[in-house]
Amino acid sequence: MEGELDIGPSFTSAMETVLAVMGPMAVGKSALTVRYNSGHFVDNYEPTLEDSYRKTIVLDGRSLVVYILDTAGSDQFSYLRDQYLKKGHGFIFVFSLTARASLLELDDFIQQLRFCRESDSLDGVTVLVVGNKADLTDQREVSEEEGRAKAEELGCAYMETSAKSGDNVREAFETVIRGIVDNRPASRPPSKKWCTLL
Amino acid sequence: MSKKSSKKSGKSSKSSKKSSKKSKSTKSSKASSVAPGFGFGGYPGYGYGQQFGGFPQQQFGGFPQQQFGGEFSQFGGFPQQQQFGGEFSQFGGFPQQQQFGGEFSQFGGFPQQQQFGGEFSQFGGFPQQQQFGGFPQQFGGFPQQQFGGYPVADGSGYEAQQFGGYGQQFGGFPQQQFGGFPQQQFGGFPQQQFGGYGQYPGYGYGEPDVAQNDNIWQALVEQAYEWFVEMATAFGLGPSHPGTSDEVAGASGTSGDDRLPTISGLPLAVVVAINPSQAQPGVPELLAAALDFVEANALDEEGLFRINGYIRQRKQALAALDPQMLAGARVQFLVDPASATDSGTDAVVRDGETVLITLPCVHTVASLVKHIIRALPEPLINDDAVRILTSDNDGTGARWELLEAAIPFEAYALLKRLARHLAAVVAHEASNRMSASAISIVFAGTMDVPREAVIGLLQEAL
Repeated sequence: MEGELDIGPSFTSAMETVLAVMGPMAVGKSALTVRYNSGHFVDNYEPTLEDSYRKTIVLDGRSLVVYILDTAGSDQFSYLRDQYLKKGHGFIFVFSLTARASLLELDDFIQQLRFCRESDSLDGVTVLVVGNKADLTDQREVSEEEGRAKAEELGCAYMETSAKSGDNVREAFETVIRGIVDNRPASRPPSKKWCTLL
Repeated sequence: MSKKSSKKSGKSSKSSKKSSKKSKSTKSSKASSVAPGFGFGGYPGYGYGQQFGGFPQQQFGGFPQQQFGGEFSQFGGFPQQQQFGGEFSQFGGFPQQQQFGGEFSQFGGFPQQQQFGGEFSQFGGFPQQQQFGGFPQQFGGFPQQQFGGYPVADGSGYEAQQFGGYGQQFGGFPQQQFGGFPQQQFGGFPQQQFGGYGQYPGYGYGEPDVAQNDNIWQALVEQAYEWFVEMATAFGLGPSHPGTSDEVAGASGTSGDDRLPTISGLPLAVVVAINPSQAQPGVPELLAAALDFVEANALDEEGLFRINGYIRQRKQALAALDPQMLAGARVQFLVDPASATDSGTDAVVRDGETVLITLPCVHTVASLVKHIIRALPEPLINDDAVRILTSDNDGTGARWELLEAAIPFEAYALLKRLARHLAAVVAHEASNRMSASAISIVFAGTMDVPREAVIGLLQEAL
C-alpha cells in the first residue's frame, strides 16, 4: 500500500497539513497546542497573538508534516481569521466547558468559515469542535450533550479535552489530521502518479 | 399642531427616500471597497467654516482610501477632536432633532443644557445658527448633487481621481463660500434672533419671542437633519453598517428605520459632548459608568478584559446606544445572567435621565468598553503619546503633563481614567490573573498601539 511507501521528508509537500486552532479568548487554545506539541501543560495566562508550530508525526503509518497555527482568540483580530480560515486544511474550534459564552461564540467562527469557503456545507474541510477544560468538573457550565448538540448543529464532530491533564488532546489533533488526509482527493492522484513513474 | 403633523409626514417621505438610497449605496460600496472612505459623510455640521478651510487639500485627497477605507471614516477626517468640542452642540443637537419635531419639552430636560449654555456664550454667535443658516442653501442642494451622487455613481465614483477632485472642491470651498459666509449674511443673526436660545428651557421653542423664527429655524433644522441622516445612512454609519461585522448581527433587525449612528465610532469629543460624566469631566458617562461598575464588582473576575463575554448581547447593546439614547443621560450597568438566554428583554432602556444597560456578565461589560474604545475614529493614544509613554521617564507626573499637551483633552481625560482602572485590574492579578503584560497585550490591540505604550500607561498609574 501507499502508506507503506516512505516518501521521506523532502516529498512531503503533498502531505503538508495546515491545522488551525481557533476559538474565543481564554479557552485554552495555546494550552492544547503546547500540550500536543511538547506534552506538557503551560499555565501561562498571556493572550496569544499568533504562534505556529511545525511537527512531524507518523499517523497510520504515514509520515506527515503538520503546521499548527495557534491563533488569537481576541475578536480584535477577527480580520486575521479570514487568512487562517482560507489557508487551513482543518480546524479545531475550541470553547471552554466552564464558560457558556465561549460556546455561543463558536457560531461566529463557523459562520465566518462558511463565508470564507463560500459554501454552506463544510465539505472538504475537517472541523472538530472541542470542549476544553474538562478537568474543571466543578466549574462546568456546558454539559457534554449541549456541546455535542452544538457541534451537530454546526455539522462538526465533537470531543472533550483537558489540556491540563492531557486527556483526549492527542486524539483530538489526530482526528483532525486524519480527517484532512482522508479528505484529500485532489492531492492523491498526483502523488500516485509520481510513485508509479518511479 | 399642524406644524407637527406636516413634519411627521415630511419625515416619512424622507425615510422612504433614504431607504432607496441606502440600497444603492450598499451595492456600490460592495463594488468598491474604497467607498466609505470619504470623511465627511454624515456630519453636516462638521467641516464648516474654519475647520474646513483648515483642511489641507492633500490630506483630503489622499487619505480616504488608505487610512479610512473602512469603517468610521466619517469622522476620520477630523484633524482634531477639539474642534468638535466647539462643534458639539451640533451633535448634541442633532440627534435630538427628532425630538424637536415631536416633544420639545424633552429638550428642556437635558442636563446638557448647562453645557450648551456655556458653549453659546463662548460662541456668542451661536455656531449652529450660522451653519444652519448657511447651509441649507448650499448644503441642501449640495448633498444631492455632489454627495448624493456619490454612493450611487456605480461604484466608480469612489475611485481615487474623484477623491482628488473632491479634495479640491472641498479645500476651496470652505474658505470662499463658507468662511466668509456666516459673518456677512448671518453675522448678526444669531444674537438677535436666537440669543434667547442659550437661556434654555425648551431650547427657545415655543417661547413667544422666538416663535416668529420657528419657520426658519425648523426648516433649517429639518434640512440639516435630513442631510445628516441621509449622509449617515449613505455612508453606512447607521447601525446596519455592512463593513463592520461586529455591529451587523446585533443591529440587523433595526436596519432601514430612522436610526442614527450608534455611539460606537463617533469621535470621542462628540461622545463626551453627548453623554458627559458629571463626576469625571471629559470622560463619557457611558465609559465612566462601565469602568466604575467593573471596579466595584469585577476586579477579581478571572480573565477580566480578556474574556469576551456574550457577543450577541454586546452587539445588541452597542446597536441601541445611539446619541439619542445617551443624550445627557446617566448610565447604570446591571449584570443579569438571565439576559444571556432571554433575548426578549432590551439590553438598553432609557428611563427619564437614566440609561440602564443590562448585560449577562461582567465580561460583556468589559468587552463593551473595549469595543467602544476600539471604534474611536481617532486613536486614543496617538503617535506622539506613544512616544511619550514609551520614552524613558520615571518622573511621575511628568508624562501626564506631556500627554496633556500632546493629545486632545477628552483623550487625555479618558486615558487617565483608563490608566487608573487598568492599574486597579493589574493590582488584583492574584485573583483575576491579568498581569500587566496580559493587559498590555489586550489593550495594545484595543487601542492600536505597541504593548510598551500600554505598559507605560500602567506605570504612570501605579
